[in-house]
Amino acid sequence: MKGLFRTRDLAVTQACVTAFLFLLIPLVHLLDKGFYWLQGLLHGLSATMTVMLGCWTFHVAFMKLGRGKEGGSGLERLLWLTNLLVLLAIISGNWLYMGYRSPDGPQSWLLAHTPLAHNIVMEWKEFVSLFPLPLGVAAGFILRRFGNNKEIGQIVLLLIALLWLCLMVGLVTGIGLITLHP
Amino acid sequence: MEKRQPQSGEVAAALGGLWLGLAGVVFSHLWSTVDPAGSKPALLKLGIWIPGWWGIGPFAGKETVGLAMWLGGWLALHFLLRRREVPVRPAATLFVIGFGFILILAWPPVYHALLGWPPGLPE
Repeated sequence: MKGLFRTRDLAVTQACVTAFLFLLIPLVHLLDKGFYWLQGLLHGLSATMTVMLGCWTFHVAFMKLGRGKEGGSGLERLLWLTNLLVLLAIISGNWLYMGYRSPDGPQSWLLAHTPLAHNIVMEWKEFVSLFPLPLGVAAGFILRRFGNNKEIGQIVLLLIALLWLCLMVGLVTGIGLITLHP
Repeated sequence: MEKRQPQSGEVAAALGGLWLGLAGVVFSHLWSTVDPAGSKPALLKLGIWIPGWWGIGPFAGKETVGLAMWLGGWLALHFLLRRREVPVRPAATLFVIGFGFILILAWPPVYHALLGWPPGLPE
């Protein structure tokens, strides 16, 4: 019997609507009157897009790697695109970090009011957020050299899983920190 | 014709270089925690190639240490191991253990408990 819609279409619609609404979060920076609103907007947009593309890459990797399925090149393209976005998120993050550390900026506010937010959350985030870049580049290199190899493909999948984990740590701690901004 | 099949040593080299890069970032940060006065000039100097380094502070130096150890270590290991067959399962297991170690060591309550908290915070 033919249903009203295909389940896959509903899933794709859900993903698109979620992605669109997610991208609205950084646009809240347009309401910001602070000196570093543009950096906040750029870092928010690149970080959000990176996490979304990272999730997509992880899903495609689930389907393709270690099963000998054709189509590894599509995954490789997605992976390099994710790596490019990670790099943009790191560069914009560095730029925003200047605002964070500026005199009378969020860092000094946090250290005065809630020091653990800087000394635990930010101190962890700064480093874990750098990890996705080497993880993704190593995964892309191995995929390029070995293709859809069953055993080595699983190592690529593992690296993509760790990349996704670090991206999520970066996003969650970042969003957590901006809720504390004065 | 088909080129020579790459050896699994390349995978081990990529994983090893990757771990060195992550360790470089975290250990340079631990150095700045143990010895802020001594490490700051060195880390600031290392970071000057990054645009806006003066606003980023020693973090730019830590990024540089990580980048240099990642790419330098990867290159060295690649030429060392590329013609060898290295069993991938133990290499991957070792990498995952090493990654977990770095992730936990980078968690501030862990290294502050070992190296001391910044002034004004709980011991």
